[in-house]
Amino acid sequence: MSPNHYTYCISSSALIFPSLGNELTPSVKYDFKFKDYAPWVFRSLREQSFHLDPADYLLSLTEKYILSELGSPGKSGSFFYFSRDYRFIIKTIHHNEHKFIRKILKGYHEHVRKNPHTLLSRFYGLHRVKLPRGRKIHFVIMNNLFPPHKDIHETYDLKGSTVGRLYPEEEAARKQNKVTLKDLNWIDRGKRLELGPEKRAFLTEQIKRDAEFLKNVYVMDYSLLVGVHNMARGNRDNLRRNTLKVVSVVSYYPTFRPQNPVTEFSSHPARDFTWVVTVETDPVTGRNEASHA
Amino acid sequence: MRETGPKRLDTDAVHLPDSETGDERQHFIFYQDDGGLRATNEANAPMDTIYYLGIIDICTPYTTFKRAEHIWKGLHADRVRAHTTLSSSISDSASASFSTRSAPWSPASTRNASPLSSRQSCPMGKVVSASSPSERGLPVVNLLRVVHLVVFLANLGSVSPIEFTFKVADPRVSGSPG
Repeated sequence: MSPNHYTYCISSSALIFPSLGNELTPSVKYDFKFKDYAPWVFRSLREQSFHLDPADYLLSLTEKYILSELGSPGKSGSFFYFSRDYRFIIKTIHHNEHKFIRKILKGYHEHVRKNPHTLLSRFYGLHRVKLPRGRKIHFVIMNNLFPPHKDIHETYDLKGSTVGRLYPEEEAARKQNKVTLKDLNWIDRGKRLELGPEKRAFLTEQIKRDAEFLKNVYVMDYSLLVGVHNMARGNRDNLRRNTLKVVSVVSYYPTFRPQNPVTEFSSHPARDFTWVVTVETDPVTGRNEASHA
Repeated sequence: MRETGPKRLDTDAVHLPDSETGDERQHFIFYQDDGGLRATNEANAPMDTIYYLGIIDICTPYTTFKRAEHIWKGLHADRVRAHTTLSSSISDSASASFSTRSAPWSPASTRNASPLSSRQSCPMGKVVSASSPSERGLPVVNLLRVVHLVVFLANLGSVSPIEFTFKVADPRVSGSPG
């Protein structure tokens, strides 16, 4: 992989409503512009390092486009969306984070190749969408650490710090553990990672290497996310469905539906190629967060 | 977008599978057991818990703003816990000290080390040496904070967070009063 591969990007634009413009509101040149950063690097990451099937990946992210918003655990201001099959996370990121990922991409790629069992977030793609006269939205596509088929009964975000690292227990009880707990909750509850000597040695070594990499690229403020599934409890509470927020964004791309011939699309672009966005209000906060996007 | 006539979605449209989708996790030792890492006992026999572990939020570099936030938290954190702030207790401590300390989630420390019974016993490996200044008296802590602030101001604009941290952390770790 040459150094150019890490800086290269592909830009494309799409016209969704060609007929919208008139004398008063001149039509824009595009409805959105899409940029794919370092496509070859990310393809190598996906297919060689992370063993993703390319068709699978595309299908998961385009097939139905039902994305559910996750209660944002951090103060970062990022929005999280799941792919419909819950395998991938789309996270909007700040421009600075975007630049930073591009900066460390080479090191990250090398680290992942040397450490196939890394615990670091798996980056599958880095993209930007720009709306005409609108702001640029950067996002990264990552693995969803939590599995689609198992309830997570407790979630901890551990930083190895004790300052401000307590989620109020009363509130946690009220919300029935649908929250992300922190270091002091972990300590106060006397939690342990129950691992025998073998797994303990592997895990310790891998965390050490990953932390070393992060240190070398001056990253801090990272966390170890710990999801706990209790097999005796299983999936009977159906927590997964209940933790998914009801804000959803839906897009229909008729061209991806096999029953819709391409010729039909090209003859009536305005009618066929529509983009539907569904927004529902979060019942907890009452905010309509998707409208910002 | 709203002009396109949004439709209200039935939330029941979200159907999650009951078995694993995709087989990529089988390639990774920490994600092999139903997509996660199954707990084992001392004889490496499986137990009834599956952990899903990963290191997240790795896109935040240590910037001047973060450094200022670090100082700010160090000045405001409560005294009992604050004695480790300069080196390891604050979450956005410099990456050098972060990665070298023994983290509370490290299986070795969680299982074999002394139980973390009280909150005052900070889970970090450095806690014994780091807490000594406050035992000797708070002026040391205050002095260190002032030194910290001065070093911070002197370093504004430079990009050497690691060097910066060591300047402050070293006297504390070695146990000298600064």
